[in-house]
Amino acid sequence: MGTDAHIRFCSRCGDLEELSPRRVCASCGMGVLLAAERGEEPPSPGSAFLVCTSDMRVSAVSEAAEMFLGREAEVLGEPLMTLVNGDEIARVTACGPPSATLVTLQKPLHHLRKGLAAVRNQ
Amino acid sequence: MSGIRTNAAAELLGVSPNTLRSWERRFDYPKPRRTTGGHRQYELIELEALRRALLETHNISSAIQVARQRGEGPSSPSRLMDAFDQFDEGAADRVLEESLAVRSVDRTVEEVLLPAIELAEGREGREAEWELACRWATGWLHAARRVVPAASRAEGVLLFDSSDRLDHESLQVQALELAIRRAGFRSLLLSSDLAPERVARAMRAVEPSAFVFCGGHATLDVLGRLVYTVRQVGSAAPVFEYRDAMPVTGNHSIPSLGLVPTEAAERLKAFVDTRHLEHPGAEHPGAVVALSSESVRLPA
Repeated sequence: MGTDAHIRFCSRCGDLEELSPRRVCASCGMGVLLAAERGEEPPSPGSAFLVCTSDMRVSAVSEAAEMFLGREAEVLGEPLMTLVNGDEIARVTACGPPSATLVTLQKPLHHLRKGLAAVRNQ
Repeated sequence: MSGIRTNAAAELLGVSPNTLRSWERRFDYPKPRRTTGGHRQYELIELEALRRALLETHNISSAIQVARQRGEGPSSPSRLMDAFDQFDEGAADRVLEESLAVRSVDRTVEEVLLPAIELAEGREGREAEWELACRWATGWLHAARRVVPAASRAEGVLLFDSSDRLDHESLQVQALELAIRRAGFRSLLLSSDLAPERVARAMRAVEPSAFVFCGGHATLDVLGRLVYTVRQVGSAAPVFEYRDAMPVTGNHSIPSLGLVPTEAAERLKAFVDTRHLEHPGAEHPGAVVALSSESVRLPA
């Protein structure tokens, strides 16, 4: 998993990048480059996803997912299942390094409304 | 203190200079100090901490949080400046106490205290923080001077200080005196604008083996008068300058002790020891090399 994959994705904007020595995304400068598990597609740019540690706490949140779940600072470190339920998860794969779980989200409307309201209130 | 310029810092982290600046705006980290020309200079310890943290985390804000915590290990100039900015003298004390656990007094002065003062200087709207920084640093240097063991060498050094009361050069001068004392010399620090008769009394008491002009604000008139007074009293001890204290840019025959306190103290030691070897019978070996007031070539 991870280091020998050819395509990596940004943990923030989801942009894809060919394997390079870089650790930080050249597009947005706000995410680190992670590789999806071998044989798995990385998330598409602009998609909503979370990265979780082995204890299933959120260690990264994409910009798109932030729109549904709230600001990055409020989401980081939270248990995944306090933020989403099973129906909202589209796909779960492995990614890294460091080894982590990539959770791609669907876009249920009630979360979208909640996220937008939170953003408006900031 | 040496720092790392933006392009080199960005390369070390594998990001663009713009990304580095955007992190500074958004997270206030890594926090560079500014040179007098306004260029950013990053600390290697912060960059290293961030580089490692980026490999261990999945997003930038977590990496910066981790690096910040680690950056608080060995104390740094930016931590000391943060303490000044919060008017927290206790925090400033703690930063230097932590530094003393891993560095000598000399290195603490040169790698933490003086760079922090340089960081804090000249910031628009931060004059109160700057004044606190200068007063606190002055107190710290005085306290450090008081616990220096008694002089182990016979030679004395008389320093003439032309700095303003509260400025970076003033602290450099105090740091120099501390380094000279820690090198075993006796020392006396006097203002360069003292009346000649008072300087003469001090000279008779100290019998200096060397004189040092420092502080950076003296005029040629003042320095010329001091050299004249020194020679009138009958001392042939050499005169040095520290941190380009001579107010001339061209050639002059006042040898420099360099820009850093410990470097200056080492040069003084080397000079005195060399003279002692060449003239073992001299009571004040440093006084063997004469430097007359005429040898200070004034610009036309």
